[in-house]
Amino acid sequence: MNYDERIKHLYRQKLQFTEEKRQAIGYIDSDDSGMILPPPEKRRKIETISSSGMPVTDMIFPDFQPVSASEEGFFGLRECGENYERLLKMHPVFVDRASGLAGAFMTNFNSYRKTQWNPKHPYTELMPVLEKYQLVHAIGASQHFCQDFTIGLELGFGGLKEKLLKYQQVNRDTKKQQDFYEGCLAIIRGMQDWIGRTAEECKKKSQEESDSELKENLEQLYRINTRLVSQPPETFREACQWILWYQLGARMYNGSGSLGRLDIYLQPYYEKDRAAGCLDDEEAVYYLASMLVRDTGYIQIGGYGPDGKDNTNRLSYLILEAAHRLKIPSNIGLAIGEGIDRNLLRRGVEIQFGDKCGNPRFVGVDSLIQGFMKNGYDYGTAAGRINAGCHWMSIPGREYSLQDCIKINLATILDVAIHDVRDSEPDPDMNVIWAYFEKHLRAAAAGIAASIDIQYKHMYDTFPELFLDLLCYGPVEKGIDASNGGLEYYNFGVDASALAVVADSLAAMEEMVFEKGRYSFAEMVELLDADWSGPEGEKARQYFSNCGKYGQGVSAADRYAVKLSQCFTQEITRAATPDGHRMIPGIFSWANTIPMGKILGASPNGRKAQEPISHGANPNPGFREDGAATAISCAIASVQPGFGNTAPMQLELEPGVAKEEGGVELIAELLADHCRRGGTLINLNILNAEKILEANENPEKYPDLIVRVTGFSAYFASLSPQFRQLVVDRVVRTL
Amino acid sequence: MKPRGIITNIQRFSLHDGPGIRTTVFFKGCPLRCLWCHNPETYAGERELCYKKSQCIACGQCVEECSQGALSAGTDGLRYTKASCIHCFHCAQNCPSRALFVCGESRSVEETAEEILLDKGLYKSSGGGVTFSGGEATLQSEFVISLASRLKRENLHLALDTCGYCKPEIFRKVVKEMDLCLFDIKHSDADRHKELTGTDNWLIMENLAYLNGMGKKIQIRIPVIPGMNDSRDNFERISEILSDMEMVEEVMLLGYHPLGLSKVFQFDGHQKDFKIRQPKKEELEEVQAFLQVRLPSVKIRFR
Repeated sequence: MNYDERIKHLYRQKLQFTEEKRQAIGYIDSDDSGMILPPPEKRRKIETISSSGMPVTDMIFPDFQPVSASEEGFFGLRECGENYERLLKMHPVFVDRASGLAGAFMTNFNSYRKTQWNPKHPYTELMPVLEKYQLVHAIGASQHFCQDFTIGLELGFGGLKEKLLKYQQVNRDTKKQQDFYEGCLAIIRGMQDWIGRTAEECKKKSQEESDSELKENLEQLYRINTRLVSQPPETFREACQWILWYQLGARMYNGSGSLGRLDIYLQPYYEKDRAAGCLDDEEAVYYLASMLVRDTGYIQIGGYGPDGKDNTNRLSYLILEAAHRLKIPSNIGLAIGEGIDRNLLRRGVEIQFGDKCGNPRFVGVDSLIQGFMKNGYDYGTAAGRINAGCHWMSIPGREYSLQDCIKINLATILDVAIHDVRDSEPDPDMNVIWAYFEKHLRAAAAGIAASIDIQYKHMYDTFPELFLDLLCYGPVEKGIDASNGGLEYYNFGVDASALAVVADSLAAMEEMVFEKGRYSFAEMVELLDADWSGPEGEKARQYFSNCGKYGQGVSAADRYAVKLSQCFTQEITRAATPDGHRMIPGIFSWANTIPMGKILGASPNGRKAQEPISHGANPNPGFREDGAATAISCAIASVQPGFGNTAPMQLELEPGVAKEEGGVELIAELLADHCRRGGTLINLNILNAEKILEANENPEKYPDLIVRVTGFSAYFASLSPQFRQLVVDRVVRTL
Repeated sequence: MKPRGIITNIQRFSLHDGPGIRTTVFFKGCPLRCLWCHNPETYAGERELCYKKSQCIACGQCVEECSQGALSAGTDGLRYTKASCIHCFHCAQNCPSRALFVCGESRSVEETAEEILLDKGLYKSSGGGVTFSGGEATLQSEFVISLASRLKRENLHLALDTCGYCKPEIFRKVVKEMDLCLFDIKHSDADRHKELTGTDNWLIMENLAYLNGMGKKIQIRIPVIPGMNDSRDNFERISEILSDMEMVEEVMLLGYHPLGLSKVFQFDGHQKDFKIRQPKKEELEEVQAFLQVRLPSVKIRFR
């Protein structure tokens, strides 16, 4: 088997594993993280909460019983670390004879937790505001920031252990610090055990292997993994294997999915091996593919260095190539910037249209850097902040950003405001409604701020970061968990959701109630409370839903969308939390479009109760007859909060557009133009409307169809019918 | 009085109407009646009432609004007596679902430019611009010239997509403002042209010759309609006409596509019989090759 054949084998295996997961677990409405099923005797299906806070079905080992002092489950630095060590020590090993790297993960540690918050730290006083505004708050959120692999690649697990032991002697003041080191050391022991057992499995398999090339591959994997139990990596392949081990451990611990700047981390190893003549690009692509197949970590390729120079290198292209060869869900964020190699963008667009796998994504680094600097950071620091997740940005190893975890549903705020107006104002107008909206948004933002402070104080005593701590600057040196002050920078990302629903609602209300006077304000509220029921309700719903829409370009709803973004940005940036933590605004709903809609009544834009809210910063489907990509781009650029966090553009294009002469270049320019207008992140799907409709009817016929659902990508057939419909509606009504 | 345009649609992110990323402005009104046209609502130059049956919720609001009794509820959707209609459009303005709508929006130059200029930066960076299409844009020449001169202030690339059937003096004024002309040739033979479109092609050919003489870049567009204009004889003659036109840079063959048949929104529009087949890719390739041999310096493409 040459390298290309081995990559094709990995592709087929991925489809097979995915099918097995579908059979055993059912639908998976989240990132296809590369988890594989444990052996049949180690499978127990459970309903639980994911590390991103969503209800999920997962697989746990029936023979693993966490040890804890509390009946509510295991909590805190030591218990989490030691229980994870136990889980790692019983985790089955996985070696594929044709893969360039060993290892795969089979369960999620998070799924063994009984509760998402330590009851020792109640926050009952905060519950009324959290419930009133249905806030997706900070308490209990984990990961969503990015480690710096430079630390791990330099030290290896042995070096990390020594570093922990050294600082354990320095920071002996508190039990919290000692528990921190014990927790981290337990994790290292667990990882070393897992790697060591995997190395033995490689050896065993090599002895059984009859194919001489694959036997050699397994022998090499044995030698590499035996070394990596303690030693830092020396070669490109070892560096890939080390990164994979860390990523598997971090992913399984609490869902951490960021790999960061892989092209930068791997460059020294690549150059060294190339200079020594022991690595060619084909082989490098094979190792990268062997990594990507086991985890769909978020990677940024390209971007600027602290001096503003373009960081794009050969590996930026090879990482893209590896994903292109694999054609499985992956999450590569390709940097677009005025000073960045345009060929990388062109290649990214070619791959998007060629593969139709929703990969890569595109990161508007110029706007992000300029925006982040508004928070008081210098250029070099801002340039080092990278796309590390669904929509989020983080400075590797230095910043606790907790992005994509905290969200305010603007449609809920409007709902509360409208009812408050009805109860309090005899003769309201749009100014009054807006004032109430602002008032309730401010109250919601205060609730969010308070939740951030609670999280900061107590998360370490609930479910500490530990794994990410190992590769950050500060936690190990100080003996303090990243969630609790161990890092240099704390910038809590707070997102607005349902922008389009609210912008369209305000415009519809203005037109129907206050300009045309077709309904009184009280009648409108009655219609909403009755969920537009009956023929008269439906007629009214039609009136309200056929007003101007955000995205049309020059509509009242466009103006409201900008006003909403500005208002939200102001509320989030006007003050720090009571304990002094900065909040940074973004616009994103992630997969919350469904649950946020589920608990919300009808909206004045004609949305019925329980229907999903709008997607991120995107206009509602059907916003313009032509559904023009430029209109979406223009609208989303106009609502960017502009402080370094993103308001992504979700774009669906037909495959045919790239067939035009110079089509790839035109689409590259469309994307570059969005970033030039202030755009921050682009999630792109190249989809044929007919195919997606057919796949929705018969998903099993399209096992390899991949869609970028929001920030993440997934096999279409693995999504629940409800999630599939969401994608279908978006695509069919846009194309 | 400042001119106003009657515009059926402004289509952004247009990749088919000239180079780069463009916005295409569709003007209402067309002097031709091509047998294959499936946009009859663009024939008349005036605003007119249209109906999307699929969107109608049968609430009866429109019938109530009509002071002339021009609308009534039929068993198969809405019934419209055009002769009674005074075109006040109250019915459409009060239709909750927009099943009844007015085709053609009256817009000022500034209103139109405002929307077009939303993508100004992208036109420049992608080598695109704005295309005036229809219907037939030259029927609203005064507005088109005003809008074009407004857009020229922004240094935008402008293209006219025309059937060429226009008074020469007007045609000349309009094309003077343009950087590129997308010029339709439906048939080379005057009689056959009349059969297919309702008019002969003398004026069209005169305007084409003038256009070439004034040194404007030309892209010829030929709709390829099986059984109607796809004979070798016709293409032979078209190639003869084009062979000494040095400004013709490109010929685009537009294979008939039944796309948009469901867009027949006129009350009587659905009566038209569309039994035209879509040409196969191989057929278009053959025409392409046929023309390429005869016009070696011209780029021949098809879609």
